[in-house]
Amino acid sequence: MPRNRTGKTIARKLLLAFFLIFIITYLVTALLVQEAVRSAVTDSELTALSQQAQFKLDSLNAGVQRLAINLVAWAKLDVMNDLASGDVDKRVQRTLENLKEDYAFKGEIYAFNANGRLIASSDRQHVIGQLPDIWKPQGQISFVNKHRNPSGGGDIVALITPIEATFSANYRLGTLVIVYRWSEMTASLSDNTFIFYQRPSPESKSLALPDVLLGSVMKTQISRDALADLSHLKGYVPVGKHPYLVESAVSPFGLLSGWKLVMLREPDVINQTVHMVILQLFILGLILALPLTFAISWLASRLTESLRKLTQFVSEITATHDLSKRLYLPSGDEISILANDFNHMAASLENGIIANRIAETRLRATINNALDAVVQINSKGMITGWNEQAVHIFGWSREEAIGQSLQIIIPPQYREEHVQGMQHYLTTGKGRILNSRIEMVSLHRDGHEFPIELAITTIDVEGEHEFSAFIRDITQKKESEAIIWKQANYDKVTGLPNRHMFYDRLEQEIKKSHRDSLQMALLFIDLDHFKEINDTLGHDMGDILLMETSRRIGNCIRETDTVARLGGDEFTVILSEIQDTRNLERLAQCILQALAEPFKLGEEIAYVSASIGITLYPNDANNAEDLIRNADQAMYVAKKLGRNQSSYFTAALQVAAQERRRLTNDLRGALPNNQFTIYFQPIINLATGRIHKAEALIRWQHPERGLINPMGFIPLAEETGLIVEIGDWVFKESARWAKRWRDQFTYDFQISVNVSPVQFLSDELSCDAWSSHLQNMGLSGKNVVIEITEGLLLKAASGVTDKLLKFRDAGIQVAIDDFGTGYSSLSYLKKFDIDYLKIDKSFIDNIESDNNDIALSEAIIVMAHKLGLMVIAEGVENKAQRILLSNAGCDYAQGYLFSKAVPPEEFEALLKASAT
Amino acid sequence: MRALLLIFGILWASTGNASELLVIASEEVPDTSISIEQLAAIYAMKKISWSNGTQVVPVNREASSDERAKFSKVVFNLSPQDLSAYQDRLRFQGKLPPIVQSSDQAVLGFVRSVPGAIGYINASHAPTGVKTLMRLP
Repeated sequence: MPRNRTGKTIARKLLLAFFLIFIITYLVTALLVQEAVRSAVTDSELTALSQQAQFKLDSLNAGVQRLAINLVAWAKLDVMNDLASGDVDKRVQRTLENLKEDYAFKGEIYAFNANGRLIASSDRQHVIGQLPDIWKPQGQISFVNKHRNPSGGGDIVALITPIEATFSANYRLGTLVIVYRWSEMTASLSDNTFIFYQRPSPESKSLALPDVLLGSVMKTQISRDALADLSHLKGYVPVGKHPYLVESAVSPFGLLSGWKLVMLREPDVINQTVHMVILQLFILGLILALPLTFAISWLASRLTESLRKLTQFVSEITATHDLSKRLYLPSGDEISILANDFNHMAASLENGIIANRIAETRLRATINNALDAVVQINSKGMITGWNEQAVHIFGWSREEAIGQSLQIIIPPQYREEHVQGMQHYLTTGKGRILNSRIEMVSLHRDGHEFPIELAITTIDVEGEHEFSAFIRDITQKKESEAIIWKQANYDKVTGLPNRHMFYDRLEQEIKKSHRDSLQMALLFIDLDHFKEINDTLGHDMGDILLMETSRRIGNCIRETDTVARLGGDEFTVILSEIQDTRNLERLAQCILQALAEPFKLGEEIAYVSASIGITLYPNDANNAEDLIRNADQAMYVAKKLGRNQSSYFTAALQVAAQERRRLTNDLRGALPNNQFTIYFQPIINLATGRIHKAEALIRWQHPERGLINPMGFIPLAEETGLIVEIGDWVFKESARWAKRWRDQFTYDFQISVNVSPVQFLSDELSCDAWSSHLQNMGLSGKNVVIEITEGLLLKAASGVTDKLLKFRDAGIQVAIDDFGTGYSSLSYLKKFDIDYLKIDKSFIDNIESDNNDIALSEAIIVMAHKLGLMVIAEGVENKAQRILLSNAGCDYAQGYLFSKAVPPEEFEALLKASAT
Repeated sequence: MRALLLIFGILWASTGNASELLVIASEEVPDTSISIEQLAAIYAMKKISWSNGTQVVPVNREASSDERAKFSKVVFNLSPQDLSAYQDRLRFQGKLPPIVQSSDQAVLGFVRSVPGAIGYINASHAPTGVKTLMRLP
């Protein structure tokens, strides 16, 4: 495992880093120490050298000085007087020899008399006749630097003093000279020392006289000039290739004044010292390095211990994939934080993986338990996913299907298309069938094809397209749909197309005929007396009759024609592509005859006949709706004409139909164009003779036809649904007048508004809206009463009941109009909350002549009063009627006797008149 | 060394001729003769310059010599020892006693070369380069 090396490597790196730092530090330190040592040693060496030079020069100086003192003393000896006598007695000679001997003097002593003649000398070998010029005394004592011995031999220095006579101040006895061999003098000089005589005065320098090298003891071969240069230098000086320590000492005074003693020292001692120090440092470094190395490696291993644990931990997780492991490092350092973070990460990962696993399990379970087959394929069309349902509907097991081409479930005729579709998607990224539900045909393992519903989505998995297909076997659905379709489009009893399909076919045929400029015909066939057969022989027999009817009609027509049953005993025939209308007539006769034949219904023989209405396209109408209405009208005409015959839709019928259409259009514009007005017919309180109420009656002021009565347009309004809008307007207009007249005349003035059954049953009639409208106007429900017809109550649908209750709750009173004309039932008077009964005009017309009618009216009035209802008599036209009604206890009356319906202004005048 | 000189002196004395003494002076001395009194004054360090101003430089023989003995006796009538004692006293007074030469030749050589010098030698010599101022018996 390469990861295990990580800790070691870091430890090594630490160690290496330490070593680098240590060595660099050590080297720098060593270098600095070396330089410091070198500098210090050099300084001390130079100091020592300087002292040495000084000492040497001082000792030379002292030696010379001592000689000088001796010389002066010797010159003062009495015996020197003998020089005056020429040392006849050799006393001076002896004295000089004795002195040399006594002092163990290495040099020679010469005594010259005042004339410069050598009188006596310790030197027996060399004889000097006359005092050399160089030895001429100058002052008390003089020193002659190195020079060649005048008496022969090597170089010497000389000390010279004059010999003064003791007896006379003016008499010079001569000169005493001590010479000293240079070799003797410099014998004490150490190696690499040389002596310069420096010209003392600036004047002599200006003469550019060079310093005189008096002598040198040099190991090194150095030229004179180089030495001269060196004499001016001090310190660490390179000489040729080698450096030297150079120091010098100068004698500023004394006999050796001007002497400069220069000492050179090879810097070996410095190097040796430095080397020694370096060696010591090196040893010290080694001594230090060993324990430090141990310490650092221990430290490094300690530091990397947590790291190593962490690495090992990670390795374990990698190897085992066990994310439940946790690592706790108590060190509290960054690595322990890292370990903690890693724990958190592992926990998150673990949770994520668990969540993923759960999600995957859930997804797999979902997919496997899905109602649809889920099939996944890759971009090559190979199956990669196959759930339980897929196994179920295709018959291939999962193991068999995975890896197969999707072609196995595609019927051969679609395979090419499938390949092209996928290719198209992969190249263009657009798929016709992607992300939508489509229906296709699929192939089962056993070879049968079946319908499927299919939705395909594609997902991008790392650049590869994958497709997921959700496939549902819709065999059953298709079958159900077929059944439903058939049920929806075919009549159960006869197997003929039903009304729905008939409309479809009719539309199709119209389009086709229109396109091909052909004629077609629509026949409405209604069986006469079918209801009686149904009632007497039962529905089963009725059904048999209907089946037989359909068969017989079918026999009369071509296969291309359509027979449909609209319901009940109504059949239609659509005859397409009619070339000749005479054929049409023949066909109608065929049907009439066929249906006129007796029907054998079980044991019974039944006779029916048919009424046929015929209309033609495009002659009579050019749309389905009109065609149907035309045929219907024609059929009614046939019925009216006595049945068992056919009738064509005629021009008169057409005119009526057109009239109707135009009126309908006009009616739509009436309300917006303010063509409606309301007339009011007073309702008289029979007891007082005053106008108490009024019935609002709508009038249509048609721009061309003049005033039209409600009977002329209300049915049309009901048919078109305009009745709701118009009724609403009537209500509001009535309320407006009711308000005016209530305020002007009497607070309980009431206007009754007719509400047609269609209006009443319409969802758009809102009792709440009317109620709040009244409230907004400050009217109570008592100011408006709605009139409904008996017929409405008969329907007794819950809608009617609810609405009546709502009107009552709103305080709006309800009157029953035209009471007594329909299926008047007394029970509903109890059942519903009714306030008024209006006795129909037909009763009132006859009460004078017909006792029954007066009796009936009286009975109605009594009964109504017993039930708490008020009674209004309609159509009162003469005083006799009024008296009769009054006597019968009728509460209110209206009619021409009092006033016809009049415009509001006139009504208001009547009201005024009535009130006074 | 002094002991040696002394020995030499004794030797010289024993071999000396106790005859007449010649008082000699350097040729620069202006005087041609000298009296005993003058001589005594010179050797007593009383007369210190000649008539021309030249310093008188007297030269003695060593104390042990016959010439010195004779000279002391003739001039001062004193033994050489007495004369030496006197001259030692003078030395303490800052006056140097006369130069001592240990032979007639030395005296002669000294006087010959030192201006103003005066000395005495055995009369047996015939001195040259000097003036003979007096003959002492």
